[in-house]
Amino acid sequence: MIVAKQKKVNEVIDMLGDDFNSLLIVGCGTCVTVSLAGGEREVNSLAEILRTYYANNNRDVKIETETVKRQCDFEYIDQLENLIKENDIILSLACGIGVQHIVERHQDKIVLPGLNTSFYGATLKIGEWSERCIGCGECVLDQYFGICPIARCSKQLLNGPCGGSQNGSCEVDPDIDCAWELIYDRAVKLDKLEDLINYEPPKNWEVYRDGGPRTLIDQEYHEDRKE
Amino acid sequence: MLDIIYIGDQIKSPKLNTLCIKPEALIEFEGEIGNFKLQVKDDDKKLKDLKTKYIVINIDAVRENNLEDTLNLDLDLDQLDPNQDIIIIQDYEQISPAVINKEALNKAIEIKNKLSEKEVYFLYRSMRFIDDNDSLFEEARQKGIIFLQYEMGNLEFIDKDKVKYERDGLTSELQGQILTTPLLKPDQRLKRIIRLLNIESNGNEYIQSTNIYLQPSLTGKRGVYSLAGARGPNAYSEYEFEKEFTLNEIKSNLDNFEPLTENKRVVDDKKCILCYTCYRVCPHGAVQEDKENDAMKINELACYGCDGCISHCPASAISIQEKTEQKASNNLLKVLMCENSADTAYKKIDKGSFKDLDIEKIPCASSIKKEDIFKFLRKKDSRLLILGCFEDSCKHITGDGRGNRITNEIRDTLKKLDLNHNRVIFERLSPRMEEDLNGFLLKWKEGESS
Amino acid sequence: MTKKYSKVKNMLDAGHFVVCSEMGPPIGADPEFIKKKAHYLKGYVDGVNVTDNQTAIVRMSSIAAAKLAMDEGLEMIIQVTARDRNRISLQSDILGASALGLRNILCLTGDHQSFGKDPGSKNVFELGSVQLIKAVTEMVDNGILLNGKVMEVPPKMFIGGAANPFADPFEMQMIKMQKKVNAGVEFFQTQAIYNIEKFEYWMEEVRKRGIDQNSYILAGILPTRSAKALRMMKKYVAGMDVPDHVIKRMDQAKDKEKEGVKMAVETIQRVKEIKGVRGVHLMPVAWEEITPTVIKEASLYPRPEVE
Repeated sequence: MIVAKQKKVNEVIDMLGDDFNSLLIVGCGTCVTVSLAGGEREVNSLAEILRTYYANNNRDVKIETETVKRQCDFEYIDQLENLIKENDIILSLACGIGVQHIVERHQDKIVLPGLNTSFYGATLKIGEWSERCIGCGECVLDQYFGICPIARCSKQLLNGPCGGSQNGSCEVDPDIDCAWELIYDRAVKLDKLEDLINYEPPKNWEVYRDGGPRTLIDQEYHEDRKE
Repeated sequence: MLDIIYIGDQIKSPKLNTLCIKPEALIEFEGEIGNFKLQVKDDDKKLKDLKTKYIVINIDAVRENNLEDTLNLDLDLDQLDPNQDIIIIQDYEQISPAVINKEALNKAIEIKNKLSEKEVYFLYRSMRFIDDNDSLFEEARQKGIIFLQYEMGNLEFIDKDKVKYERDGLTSELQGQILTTPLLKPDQRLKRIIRLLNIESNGNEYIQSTNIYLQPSLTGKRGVYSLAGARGPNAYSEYEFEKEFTLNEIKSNLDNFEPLTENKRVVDDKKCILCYTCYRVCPHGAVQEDKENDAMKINELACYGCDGCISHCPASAISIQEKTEQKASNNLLKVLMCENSADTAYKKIDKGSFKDLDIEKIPCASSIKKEDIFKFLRKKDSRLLILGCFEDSCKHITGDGRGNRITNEIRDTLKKLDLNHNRVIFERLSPRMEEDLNGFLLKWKEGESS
Repeated sequence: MTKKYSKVKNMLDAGHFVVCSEMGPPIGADPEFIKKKAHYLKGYVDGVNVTDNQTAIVRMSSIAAAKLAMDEGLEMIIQVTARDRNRISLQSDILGASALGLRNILCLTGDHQSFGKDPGSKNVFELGSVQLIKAVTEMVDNGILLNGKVMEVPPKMFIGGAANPFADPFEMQMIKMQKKVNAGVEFFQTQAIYNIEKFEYWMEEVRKRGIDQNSYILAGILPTRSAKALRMMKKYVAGMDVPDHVIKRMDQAKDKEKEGVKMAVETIQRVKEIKGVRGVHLMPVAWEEITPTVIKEASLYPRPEVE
């Protein structure tokens, strides 16, 4: 899922500025709810925090809240059409995708991000997530026994560890596991160390966003649309 | 329907309908006290479903060699060389539990009885005088076993049959066959049981045992008990008592399963996104997935009503059925009191000075919600005092910590908003600290923050 | 195929025990800084590495600095890291270096930028050291760029790589070293050696795999004059192994500089005896002027003359 973190509330207040009278905070009910950043609970808490702030600073601001299942589908955004139109500013507690999707439907509105979108991650334990994939467009997990050196090695090395890893930790931070140590351990466990001797040529980054922003088309539906 | 399923070792339990399974046989687990459902793989690898009212986890700790190249304490005496002295080293790495202390003393006496011509040295860091260890110690001394106390660092292994011992500036070298006491480590299978049953543990190693509400053998989950090595090495000393307590309690409540709370906690299946946050937060393992409704559900009998799940649900999907709405008050001073600590203490004090405070009883400090607190803080000059429990005496095990963390976040947010963060304060109290509470409330009312 | 363009290579091919050293370019654009350093190294070493924004701190480009030093009469080894440049930029710089007459290259992945003063910079790491070695080998031996384009005038380079005997996981590091050999590496320079026993064991593994038969191994020596520096390296430098007894020895030494030289000389003498070690690589940090002293005391001076 997409893991995000709420922006600091003072940054949100600065971003909102003074030039508005009404605000709609929109939550997103999928990824960022699971990553505890933008679900209904966070939307309601942030609304109360801002109301407290404006009330204590003698400012009259109307704040409304709504959480939809997903901000990355127009159908859900369209459910909010009236609410969006009625408010001066829309603060989206979705990932960056949700923010832009609202913008796409409401070109005349100021839509602001309430979250810092972080990464695609897995839950390690409550309140702790870790990056596992960067969406490079060409999965190599088969070659590395299910551990991605692109997402999990600080240097994205494809041919073995750098010289800086010690005791299973990355040189960048002892709290980061050395991906190559993990790959090596798996190879030993699966008795496939010899697979790691093969030279891996430089990766084709064209299928990542280095080839320009990507669009993915499912041929089946695409053909339908042409007709 | 069984009365008890033992996971690990069977305990003789007359008049009860029991069954014992190996830890690795458990495949799936659900349900609550009075109706636990276990899917178990038997020795023929066939799956079967079992139902039981109670579960007792009785898994021994694993013994590990303390040091390479030394003999193990539980060796056969015939393996000893009768021509050499004996050096028993207790507590080399860690301070041993009393049960190991006892074994070592017994062994030392046994060895001395057999090799009476030879010296038996007993090096230890700490002697645990519980059970009959003191009389064993006395007996061993009378038999001529030489006891030497050491601190880590004062003992050095020179060879595999030689140690250097230093105390009060005096150094001596001892030579002989070295026996070390074993280390007790949690059985690796215990980790999986903790995970499957979703019960609170100490760092996923042993089943929580420091919390006063979980004594002597209770776990955070109603109807599940833990004994012996599952509770940790120190539990062996209390084993007989804990076993008896457990069986008696089960017998006296064999068909008596009443909810512990007045109102049910319900999950709105339209809002629930199955993120498992409530499952992870619940200190009582009362939450599980309801596969029929595609939502989480809270087992009514397992729920202790701490409301931690409600305050933590990121989708705001959990609520109390038929909750009586708190009437809104305009009071600027509000106190939230945990019903298991501060509120109990409050019952014992004269409330005359506190009539003007808006005091609300809460089930647990972990039930506080940011949203509600900021709603209250909207009123200028309003102040909030949250009174929770001390660590290890929180009925909901992790509740005080969670409550404290939520409060810290709120204070942090207030700082970022340039508002006075001391408007919200978290304090810990025990139910017996009524005098402290009295003084504390007076001070807080006057506007002094600690 | 004999390549007669690199003096370092010629010396190694001729069987001499080679001495390399290292210089860090300035944080600034002063050519005199390089010339001064070149001056005191001249005649004492067979080749000099120029670091490439070492520990991710912005300095004068290694190629430019190497050219300046070469003009003072030194044989230079340019360090090239894959941290900051993609394949387009890396290959382009290597072509330029060769055109300037630089003939030795040490291909590195590079320290992560979080170690330097620009932790907010975007890292590249498009190629790793193995891929970089392979790319240079293809350019030099076959005149082919990564995109398959054939060059009329290919670059000439003696290709080196780094090896760290102290990094984990040990076996995986060996596999990687073997991969570097397969990719065309001709010489290795190792991480600084303080744990000589571990290095001896590592060399044994290197020989077992025949890596010493297919490449020249130069042992890394880092003369130092303070116990504090040793402690810092132990704690903060990724992949360094500094045993406590080494730190203790420096702690107890009265004349730290003398002791530092002595320790370096001892290490040189020990590694010289190890089968498969074909030279040393001296990399004093912030004490570059000590290099001639160490070389003299290790009886490695004067340097043999080779065409």
